[in-house]
Amino acid sequence: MAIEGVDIVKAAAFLGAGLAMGLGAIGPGVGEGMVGAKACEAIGRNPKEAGLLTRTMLVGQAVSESTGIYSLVIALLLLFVV
Amino acid sequence: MEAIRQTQKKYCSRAIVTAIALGGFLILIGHQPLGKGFILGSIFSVINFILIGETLPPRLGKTRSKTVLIALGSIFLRFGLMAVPLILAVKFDQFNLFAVIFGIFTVQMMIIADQYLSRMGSTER
Amino acid sequence: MMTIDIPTWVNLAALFGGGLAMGLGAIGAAIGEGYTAAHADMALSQNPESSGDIIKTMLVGQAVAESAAIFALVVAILLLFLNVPNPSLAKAAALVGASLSMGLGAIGSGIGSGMPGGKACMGIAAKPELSGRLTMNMLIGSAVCQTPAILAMIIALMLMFIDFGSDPLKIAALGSAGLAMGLGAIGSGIGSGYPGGEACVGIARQPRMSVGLTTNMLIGSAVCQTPAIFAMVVALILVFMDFSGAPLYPKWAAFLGAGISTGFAAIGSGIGGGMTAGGSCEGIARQPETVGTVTTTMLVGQAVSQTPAIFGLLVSFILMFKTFPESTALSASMALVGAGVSMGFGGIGPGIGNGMVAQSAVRWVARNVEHAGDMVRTMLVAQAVSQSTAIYAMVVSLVLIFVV
Repeated sequence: MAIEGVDIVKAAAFLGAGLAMGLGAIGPGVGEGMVGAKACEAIGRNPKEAGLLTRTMLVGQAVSESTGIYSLVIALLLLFVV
Repeated sequence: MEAIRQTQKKYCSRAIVTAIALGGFLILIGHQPLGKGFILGSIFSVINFILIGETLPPRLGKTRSKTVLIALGSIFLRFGLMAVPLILAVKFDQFNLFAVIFGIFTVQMMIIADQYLSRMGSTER
Repeated sequence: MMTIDIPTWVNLAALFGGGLAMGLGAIGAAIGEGYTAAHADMALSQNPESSGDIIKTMLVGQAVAESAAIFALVVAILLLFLNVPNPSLAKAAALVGASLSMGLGAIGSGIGSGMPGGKACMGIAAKPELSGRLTMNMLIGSAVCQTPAILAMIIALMLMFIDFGSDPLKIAALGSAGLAMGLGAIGSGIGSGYPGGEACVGIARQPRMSVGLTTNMLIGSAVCQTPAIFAMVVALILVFMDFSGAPLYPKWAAFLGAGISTGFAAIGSGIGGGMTAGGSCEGIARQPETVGTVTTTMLVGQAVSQTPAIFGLLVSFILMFKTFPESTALSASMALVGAGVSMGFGGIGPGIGNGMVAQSAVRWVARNVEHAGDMVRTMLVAQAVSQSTAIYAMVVSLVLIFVV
């Protein structure tokens, strides 16, 4: 394999994009799952508040999502700009 | 501990009896490697089960990481011993490999058979 | 480049593989045993007069829970002592793949089998008169837990004994097949432990439901094997399909990526599906009359939890079957490996997260069955949001495959 300078940079960028998005998806995935689990429990305890609880859950999950979005942005930067 | 001795005696004796019966039968009808392999595997299955019982009490009452380490040591010791019949089976043709592997699970099979037989016995009542 | 000749490579692979398979298998069984011992300790402190029954159960439980490790021992001995007829680099890769498959596969089953054992001991402490039924449920649960290790052993034996010729592309395919099966079996192995454990707890709490609980445990565990089956499909394709038409670079990277993608993504879905099944056993034990709704909710929740593994499988299929233009550039290869890494790791988080949501939903549907509809709706919404990061990961994977 003839490996050149630009090629190594691109190769590293691609692998890095994969790692960034892959590992970055672990945190939000588990975190949003915890939020959802507690929301189901809360609705079980207090079904009349289902609307409020679902809305609160979505807000919480959206905030958890933010690090996932950062990972996506970094991954796309690595793919297209580097 | 008394409970361990009882269980050991129960399953080990059944395993040995089954091994001798089945293995002996196989040898008599001419399948020598199968019979010998099964008996060899069963012997080590019994030894393994006895050793599990011996290494069990030290595991109780310790911290989590120590328990895992003791379990790991117990496993390496017992599996080192169980490697012996497997290596013998690979190297020598007089012990059939599959029969040895089957024999290593003899005690486990006795345990599961015991559960089903006692279950059937209690539902008959 | 290297002055080591091929038969030596094969022998090195065999030695390395033997150690790896046995080492990983032993670690799994030891961790499972640690869990059981910890719970047995608690059980003994709660009820010292039942110590006889508790220790008996521990003894019997460990004998069965070790089965996966014994399979790993058998594979290790075969790797170390069996002579390989046609040494080739592909065979060396196959042996490493076999050890990864069996070793990793045994870890999951070892850890998972610890859960029924520990919970059964606690159940005996609470209700000593049920020790017979608890022991039986523990044994059934432990036995089901060994299934992923058995699948892994089948792949390992295929890799060891089939003659593959010397196509260099096969090197990557065979190693990756072992990796995929091994990783995929971990999740299902650990996941199957949850329903086994919770069923034991449930039987202690509600003895008249013991048949229903065992049935639910078996249904939940069966669905839990799905990710391991996905991994086996990928492994079988990599082992048996003839890829000789494709250029070596970058296809080797595509195969590696395919194995990583399904392998890691299956871990999350396996554990998540298992948590859901555990929650349903708990719910049924607490409120036996809700068994129908709870089982249905469990199946829905588990099905959604499999989505990350399905994404992983999809990416694997694309990587294996798409034709890539020949390119010796490192970047082309790394793009494909990156695609696999992205989807593979990206499946872990959402898989576990979906499982947590479904587990909680199933527990609370049991307690509040009139509002099951609300809870299922919320569960699906929450799972869909949690899925989003898996979708981002898949987008990145597809971009790496198609655009770059």
